[in-house]
Amino acid sequence: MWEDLKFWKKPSLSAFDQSLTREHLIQAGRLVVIDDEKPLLIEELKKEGFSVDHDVTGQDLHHIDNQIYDVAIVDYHGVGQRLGPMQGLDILRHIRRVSPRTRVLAYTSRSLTAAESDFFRLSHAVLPKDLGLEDSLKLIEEELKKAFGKEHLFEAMLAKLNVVKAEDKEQIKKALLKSLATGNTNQFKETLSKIAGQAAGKVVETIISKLHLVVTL
Amino acid sequence: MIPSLFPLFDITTRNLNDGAVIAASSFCRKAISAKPECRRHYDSLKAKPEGYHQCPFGMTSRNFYFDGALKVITGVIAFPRFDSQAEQNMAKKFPEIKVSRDTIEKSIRFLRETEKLKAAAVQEATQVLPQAFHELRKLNGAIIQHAEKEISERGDLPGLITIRSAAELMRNNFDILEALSNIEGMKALPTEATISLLDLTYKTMRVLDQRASSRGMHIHVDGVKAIIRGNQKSFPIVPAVLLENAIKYGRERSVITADVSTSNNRAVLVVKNETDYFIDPDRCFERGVRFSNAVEGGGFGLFLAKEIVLSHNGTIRCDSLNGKIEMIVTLPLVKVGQQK
Repeated sequence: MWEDLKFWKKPSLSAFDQSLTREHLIQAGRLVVIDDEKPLLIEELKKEGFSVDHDVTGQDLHHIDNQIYDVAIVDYHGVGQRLGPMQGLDILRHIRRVSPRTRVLAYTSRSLTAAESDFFRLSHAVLPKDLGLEDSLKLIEEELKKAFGKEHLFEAMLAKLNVVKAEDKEQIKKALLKSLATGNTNQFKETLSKIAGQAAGKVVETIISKLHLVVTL
Repeated sequence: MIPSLFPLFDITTRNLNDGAVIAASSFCRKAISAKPECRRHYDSLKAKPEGYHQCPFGMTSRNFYFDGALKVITGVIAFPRFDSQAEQNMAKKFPEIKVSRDTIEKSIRFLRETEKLKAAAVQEATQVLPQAFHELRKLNGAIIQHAEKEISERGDLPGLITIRSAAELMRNNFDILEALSNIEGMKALPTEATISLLDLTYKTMRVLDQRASSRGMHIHVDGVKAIIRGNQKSFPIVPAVLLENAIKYGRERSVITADVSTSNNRAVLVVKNETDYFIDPDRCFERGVRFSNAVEGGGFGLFLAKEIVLSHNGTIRCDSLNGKIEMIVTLPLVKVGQQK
């Protein structure tokens, strides 16, 4: 009995991160580049087969609010004026608030002032505009992979539902682990409704589907 | 130094500079360094309001604030006069130092106008220069990316590789300049991205290879694929600085080695080179410290590398013995990736 306990490891969500192939990522991933210019990178991403939208103003927040993007590549200057004076930083903050599952890349080669430096700090990664194409694609693919990571999606779901109590988090995690192991999402959704309210399932529908992506692919 | 028409004394530095129209008299120069009453006169001006004051020897001093510091136009006989005996004696002795107070006021106004223009120019530059820098970086980035695209479509044409390498080298320098101008910002960048220390060092070697070849040097990169967590914007500066220094200060026609290994859950990068220059391992990471004037540089590279390594929870040290330099960087190891 003691021997069993000694080697027993608490199950983790990352254990379910079966390695998604590049093809899976390309097939399932959804990217947006928010930049007032048209960087060569967009052409390259499309050539590689990625589904990528180009938003030149950052005004159309419909898709962002609907949490459809896995990765958002956000320029600082010339975009996002509708949201506030901090341009790209205001977009970045908006995305992190409404779509916490979206990995946000700070896309600029400009040195920013102290007041603007949150743009780098709050991003998931910095993608310098003058990075080579191959390195840029590699970094974006890495972030896309992270966007499908179970731990990341779980944390994003909690943030979206504003679940803060440790015991609630633990209960949801247990239900999620079970649902990932069995492929049955119903019990998980019930647990979620009990803790976060009836509408919880709807609010994080996209995240739930992403969490179970490998099962359905 | 502030250009002035009349002799100008700086209270802080205690320097007396010639004016463009009236030079500082030899009498004043001697008095400032030798006469205690002269020193007391200037010290007393710190507490006096801006205006005209007579020095103990009869000269006129006009104190005024300029660029946040107290300055004194002095060593002249200004009209209207104080009408003291000492003043009359000085006017007779040095007839070339006579001037009107009105002219002095005009010259002060001119200085202040110039200062305003300078402040406006600096203000404009703080807005325009980052934008210009950004545009340069974008242009340079376009060169890198278009060259890369052409290489991938048309093959490794030597001319294109040179262009790409030069532009990548330029990007390294832009990164260093930017980091130096905002070190705190650079240190605050997120360090969560996974970076292969070996791949990054290899890539840096590729960028610097032509520069090394120009000195008959060869860079050899080897080791294990140690993965660390870092920032893609700041961390590449570290191997770039170490290899650039090894090329700049290394012995011609020698070999530079960069080896990546792991030890006690740390990723270790060791850059070795031979050199004819003395280097103090304890002081080489200090800002502005340089060990050779024969080689161009600002003494900022290693300082910057140290700051970045520390912000990545790493260590950096230098070993120097018998003309052999070793720069040793250790960082928390995430894992060891598979070799290609």
